[in-house]
Amino acid sequence: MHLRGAANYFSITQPDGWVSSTNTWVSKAFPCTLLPMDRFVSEREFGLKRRYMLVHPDYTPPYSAIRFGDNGPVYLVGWCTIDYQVSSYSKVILLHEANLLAQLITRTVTATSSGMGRASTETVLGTYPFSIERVTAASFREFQGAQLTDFFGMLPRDCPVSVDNEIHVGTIEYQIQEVFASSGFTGVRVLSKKP
Amino acid sequence: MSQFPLQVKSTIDFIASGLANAHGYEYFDLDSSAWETSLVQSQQPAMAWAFSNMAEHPRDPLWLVGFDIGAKVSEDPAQYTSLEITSVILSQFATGQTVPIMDYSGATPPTTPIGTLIITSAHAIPAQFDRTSGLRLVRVEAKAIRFS
Repeated sequence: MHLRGAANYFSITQPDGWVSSTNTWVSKAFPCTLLPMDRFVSEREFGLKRRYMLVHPDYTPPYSAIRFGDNGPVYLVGWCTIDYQVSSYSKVILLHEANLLAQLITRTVTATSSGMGRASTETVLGTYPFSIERVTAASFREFQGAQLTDFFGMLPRDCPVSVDNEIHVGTIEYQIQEVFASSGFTGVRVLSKKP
Repeated sequence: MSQFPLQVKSTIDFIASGLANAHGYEYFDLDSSAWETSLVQSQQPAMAWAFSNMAEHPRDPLWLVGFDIGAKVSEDPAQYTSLEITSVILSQFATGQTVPIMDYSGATPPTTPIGTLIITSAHAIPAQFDRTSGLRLVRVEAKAIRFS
């Protein structure tokens, strides 16, 4: 039995591929099978945001995000694993839904003659698909009674984010506390600065 | 008089940042550490300081000034890097040392002193530790005289 042929027979779905360097979409970039395995019921969002995509075992999508249709859902492209039976017959890719658009911000500080920075200006480094989920409320250390909200976010794996950046989603600003690799995505822990 | 505390703080920043640059250390203001996350989390040694207090004594143009300046280090088992930075600081802020106060808070370097800072004491305080980093500060007390 030729498992490759059988496994890829239904790869007729063609998502658009996101080019991070230009923030543009390549229409119908490659064939795949999108598995309907996102029916995990939980108070947490991961069960509804993650699903699998199957592609040909010799193909690795060069895109860190894909979407299904011009106005369809956007997914971050994560870990790839190979399915084997004597030889490889399919590649399983983890997807994470990310329907927000985040601006990655760096602050350029105006230098003073003291050697320290003073007023800062915001520079947009790029726009990236973004997913966010609330974790908990974090207390303000300096002002008792005031709290910020702690969020867990996901960005494309090739997003050049660091703890010195900020993320802006519309008018909401998030300060980045931590950056880490997670399941082939770039994970961030952020605090909301202001609504 | 209204900008004198700012001018004193900017003078301290100027001295400290120059000291750090001369010895190849990173530096940051401890009171702004939330904006310097990568430096705070870095394994590289850095100089850090915090402007602590300033009060008329007994009244303007005579002032008392206090600030803490020291070393933030990681992977420093015998505290030698910490004490190396501390030694540099203690030699710069030796008792009796005078420092001209100028307004370094703008982009243009100043040329006219507006006061004098006289160091009255400087001593290293016990080290503080937070997970992977240690912080050893020198507490500096000074008197400031405002000319204009």
